[in-house]
Amino acid sequence: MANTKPTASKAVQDYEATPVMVTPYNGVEMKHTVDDAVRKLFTTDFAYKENTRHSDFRLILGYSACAFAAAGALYSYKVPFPDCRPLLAVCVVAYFILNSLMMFYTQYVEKDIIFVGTKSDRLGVDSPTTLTIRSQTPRFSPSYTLTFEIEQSPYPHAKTGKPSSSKGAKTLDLKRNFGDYFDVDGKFSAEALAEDVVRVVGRDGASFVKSQ
Amino acid sequence: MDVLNTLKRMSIRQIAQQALNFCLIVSSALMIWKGLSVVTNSESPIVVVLSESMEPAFQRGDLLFLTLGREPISVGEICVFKIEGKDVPIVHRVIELHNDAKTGEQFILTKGDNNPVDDRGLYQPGQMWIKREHVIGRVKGFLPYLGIVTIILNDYPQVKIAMLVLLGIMVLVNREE
Repeated sequence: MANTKPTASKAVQDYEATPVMVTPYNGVEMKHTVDDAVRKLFTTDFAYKENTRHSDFRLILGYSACAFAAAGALYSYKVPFPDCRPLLAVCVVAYFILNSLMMFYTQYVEKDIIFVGTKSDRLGVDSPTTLTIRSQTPRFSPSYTLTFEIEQSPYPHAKTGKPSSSKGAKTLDLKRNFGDYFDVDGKFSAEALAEDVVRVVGRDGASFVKSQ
Repeated sequence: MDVLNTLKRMSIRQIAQQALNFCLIVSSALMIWKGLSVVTNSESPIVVVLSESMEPAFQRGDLLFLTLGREPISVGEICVFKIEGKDVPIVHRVIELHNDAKTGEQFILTKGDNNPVDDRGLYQPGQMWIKREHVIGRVKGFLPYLGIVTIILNDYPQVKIAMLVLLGIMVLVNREE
């Protein structure tokens, strides 16, 4: 029976307007769908501003590698072998170095992070909250774990300008299965996800307001 | 279509990432090829045998691995060379070799094992020898039959285009781990 209670979440309304269907049992697709929905939730409803530095760095490294590849290919097309060999060698080496750097960054620095964002206090009193969300799905397993690392940076004391008390850093978990968010046909329920997320991080997405 | 919906949901960065994945596949293949070329010092490090002129040593569809060292070419070596004005490289054996006493330049005559006459009929009109600069590599190794795919792709270019289009669509729409 359809849920007739009007939802205040813009993101959920969006998903209900254009529902997302995935191939059932396709773990990769499901992870991407839920990750995307989490991102949407935090940017539209919880008013976080996304920090895209991981994605940007990956894109810069990747496209620079491709630029070297294209340059090398074009150069070896214009200047015939063997005259082109030295510069071509430089392009090939540069390509593989940049490509390896990009893969290293994705694997060891970015790891399982799906979202990094900051949220400034509406009243402008408290210092902004930074949030890092990670999601893990073990291979061939239906479990989906979200980890929220929330930190509110210490705000400077009014007179001395030195950092005052820090509200602290908190790490919160949400362990679910894909079966909680997808039905048998593969339809994604953004509402179920929104409920779970709000229960863990609070109505404002920063979780310092609600007391444990 | 489902593909369009998937693309509409993605942000600019995600679309850029998908395009990048496609470019990386193409560039990796390209750079591996060019890298091999640099290492073997040969413009075309791997060639496919297209004719039966070297039977029984090489059949149509065999893959040949080439290098081009600095040592002088010797009689009996199988070389891949290009005649000026002709696109397709030829894989034949060196049967006669003369060195210019003063410059040390090599004059090479080639013949396919399975051909009744030497290659003078293939050279440019008036050309009696080929020189070192025409040689793009010497055969150092071979793998039988693997080049059949290239021959099919060359004979039926629609197959090549169809494969590339399919690959492009698959990579753009499927987001990997």
